[in-house]
Amino acid sequence: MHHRPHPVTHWAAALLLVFALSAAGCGARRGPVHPAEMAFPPLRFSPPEAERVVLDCGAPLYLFSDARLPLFSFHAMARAGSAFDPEGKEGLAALVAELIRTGGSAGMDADEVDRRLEYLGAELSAAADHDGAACALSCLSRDTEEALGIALDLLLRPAFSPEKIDLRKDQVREAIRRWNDEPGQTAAREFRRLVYGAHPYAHPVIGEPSSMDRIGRGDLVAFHRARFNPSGMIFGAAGEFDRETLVKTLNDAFGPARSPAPAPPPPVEGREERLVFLVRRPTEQAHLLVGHAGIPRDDPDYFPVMVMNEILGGGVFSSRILERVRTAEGLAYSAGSRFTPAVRAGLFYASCQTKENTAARALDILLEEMERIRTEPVTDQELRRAKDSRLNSFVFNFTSPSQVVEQMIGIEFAGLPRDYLKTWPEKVAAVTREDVRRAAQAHLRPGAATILALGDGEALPPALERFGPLRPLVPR
Amino acid sequence: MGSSPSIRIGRLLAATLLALVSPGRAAAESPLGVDAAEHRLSNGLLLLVVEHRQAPVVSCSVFYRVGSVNEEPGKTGITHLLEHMMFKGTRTVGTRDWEAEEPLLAKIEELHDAVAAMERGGGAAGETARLRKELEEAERRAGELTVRNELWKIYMAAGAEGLNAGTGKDRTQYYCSLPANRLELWMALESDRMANAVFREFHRERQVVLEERRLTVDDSPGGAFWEQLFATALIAHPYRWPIIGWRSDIERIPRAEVEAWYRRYYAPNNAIVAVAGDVDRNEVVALAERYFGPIPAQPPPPPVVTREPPQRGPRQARLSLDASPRVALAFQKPAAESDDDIALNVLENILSSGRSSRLHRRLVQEKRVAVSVSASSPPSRYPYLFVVHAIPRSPRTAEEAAEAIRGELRLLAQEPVSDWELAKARNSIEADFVRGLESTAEIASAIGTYAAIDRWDYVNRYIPRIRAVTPNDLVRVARNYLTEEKCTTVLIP
Repeated sequence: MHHRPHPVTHWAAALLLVFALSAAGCGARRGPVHPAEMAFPPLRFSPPEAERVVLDCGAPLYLFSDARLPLFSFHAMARAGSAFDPEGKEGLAALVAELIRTGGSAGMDADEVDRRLEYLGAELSAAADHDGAACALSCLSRDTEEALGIALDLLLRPAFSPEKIDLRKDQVREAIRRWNDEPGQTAAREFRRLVYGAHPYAHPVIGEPSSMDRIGRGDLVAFHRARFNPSGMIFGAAGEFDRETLVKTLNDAFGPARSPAPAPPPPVEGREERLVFLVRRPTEQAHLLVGHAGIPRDDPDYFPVMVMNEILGGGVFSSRILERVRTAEGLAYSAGSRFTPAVRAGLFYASCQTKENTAARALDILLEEMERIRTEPVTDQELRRAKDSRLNSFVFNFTSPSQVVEQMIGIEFAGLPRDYLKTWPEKVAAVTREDVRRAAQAHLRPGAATILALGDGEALPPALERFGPLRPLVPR
Repeated sequence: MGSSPSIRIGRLLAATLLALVSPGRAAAESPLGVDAAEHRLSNGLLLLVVEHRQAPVVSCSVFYRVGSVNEEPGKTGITHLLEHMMFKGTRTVGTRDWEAEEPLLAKIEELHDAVAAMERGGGAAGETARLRKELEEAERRAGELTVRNELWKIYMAAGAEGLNAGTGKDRTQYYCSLPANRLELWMALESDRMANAVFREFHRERQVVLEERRLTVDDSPGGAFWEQLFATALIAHPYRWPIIGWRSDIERIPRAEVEAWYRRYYAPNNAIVAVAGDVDRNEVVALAERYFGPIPAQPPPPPVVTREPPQRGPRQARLSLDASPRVALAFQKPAAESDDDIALNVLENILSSGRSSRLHRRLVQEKRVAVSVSASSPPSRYPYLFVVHAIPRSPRTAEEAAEAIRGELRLLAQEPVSDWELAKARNSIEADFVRGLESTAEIASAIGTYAAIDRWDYVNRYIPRIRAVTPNDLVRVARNYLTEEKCTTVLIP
């Protein structure tokens, strides 16, 4: 295999030694060792670090050079997510990101952009989530000049072709028209609305049933001008490239510093009472969601919460919820819990899908497990497994050059310290049983959870009534 | 532990692959390929190793050459059910005391059969209740001896990433990536479950699979649509039934049949082990010999006999599902070994890869008859289907979208594509190949899958074969395969 020198090749050298030890140790052993008790030499690993450069415009640029594959990637992140959609114009942020990609630029017609990029086998994407919009280019490194030129022109001088805006709005209308086809989608979307209430995280990124009719080209232009100012963005490049040429290209394109970065969305205010909602729909299975607002990405309890949720329902078959709901009782195929990442409070939910006559039983288990981890300490074994799982898989955050860079962009975007990855392992290792219990008490609120059930049939409504008065909910 | 519909594998594999020497439009002669070491154990197991040093990780997969294609009516879904059972442990993993547990598991089976027989034969209510109580008690006692999900827990504590398994139409795959110093753990766990799997909690797991079917098919118009498509486009070949199986079959397959299935198909001579990552190939061979070497070979499994007869005229199904309109057109196509299948891969790209592709340009941008359209032509062990799928844009109908697709297919059969269009297809297929090289998981998955459906070096022959496709080849395959006479149209009006 083709192999060139690289800053992280010392991994390989360290590992050869490790294997030699491993083989010698095993050869000497007599009789089978239980796999749970097998011992391994430590993995010698120093995380590869991206270089941080400040461009003339004031924006950070993360660079990670690796020429082993003839690939180049460029990444840009703007504070331009759906949380900044004006009221009544929900879906604007997503539309802007999509039209940066598909609406042509000052220098090139939209269809020509597609023809050129696709001829080169280059991939360019732009998409918004709740907090931000991310743009990524991947091309063969011999095509970097042309592909990056097209991408920068689209990012900085989008043409927002009226015809392409119209096309996209139609696609969004069609997606919304059929967004109740799959029951799981309906349940997840309505649950988010209920938890966030009036906060701008509440509405779907793609928009609302009539919002496309209220968005004009001028809205796109204004949103882009306010939020895609390079001075307020974060950039990255990875793979095979010439550092000086790249920095010069970007400085030439972005120019001098302008206004500073826009602010993140407002904080989320949680609700203090339990409410139970029922979406009636003829299905074989009930979809169940229990939860509330979670924690911001930079919360000081982030690490205890991460370990706690691994034990509660994030660790799939290693977690309490799945072990009871699926393995022990055979009630559901998928079951678990999750804290979603967000700059402000993400979402916390526990969920599963089960046939309707076992829905109440499954819901009991979800709530019981949320309560149990708040009141009883987890076992030493559970804590060790959850931490080992995280610590031993840390290395998978660095498996490709683009991943190294994208990760740093995300860290800076969320307002986390720049040494975040360096201190990550020690912060996970430091979490104690008491930290887990305290984090569960602070951040799980079964008594104030929103409960949403989707389903139909005779059995479901009476079975759910003991969780609280049922509020009928008609999905949008 | 999902069933991965093989229709999705096509895209994934086209986008996978290799460790390489630099590719290139300019250098048509430059070799593009995986440098895999091939080693055959004396029990027949095929080991494939790719040294790939990006990070200190290793991706490992074991593939069994068994999928829903090996099943028969009455047993559909048995391969997928077995995949679920393979996570229940072995004689050493998942138990506190195998000696005590073994007779209890046998007793549970006996009681289950007895209860089922009473229920079928309308036995005395009191007697049935007594047996049921006895069964519950046996299950409770067995549960006390079980360490639930121990296999999964050991893997996760070791730092496993992407741990899962997938059942396809042609093969079943168990996979994960680990920090490279845990390779031996993988060898120990996977060789153990190849030889010593124990199907604990069998009857509860059957309920889990039924819930999986409710979630992904019965309550999902998308899932139900694809199930109906395969069942309509094929009338004889076993690709026609769903990987997860028909509900009636999942409900009745006895545990003894699943065990027989396991013994027959999960034999080293029917298995492929693929390892890619920061490893030394000699070390991998030595570990594989030590852990998998002692497992005895089994008699070769029976061949798949049934061949799909030629399609005699167009077929159509209009589905009554509570969902928005959609449509798919399916055409029978050859297996992965055929050069025609490679030409169809190029057509798939020309038709629907990217916004400048023919179907996207015509149906989505110009005629505005659909909001999305995609073609898929997954490589397979036996002749399978080329499918074009579209979501119509209201108020345009599924029929209108189908007619527009047919128009584009007719055009492909009439005149050769331009050199530029063919070059674009080649370039994007090659760039996807190179991108796939960043991931050890994709490399292990690709070489193992191709070994299961054709030969592992399909990956090395793929780009040269793509480059050899001419505009005339495309006209020929469009005329031979994508005709109205051989078209199956399935739609939700």
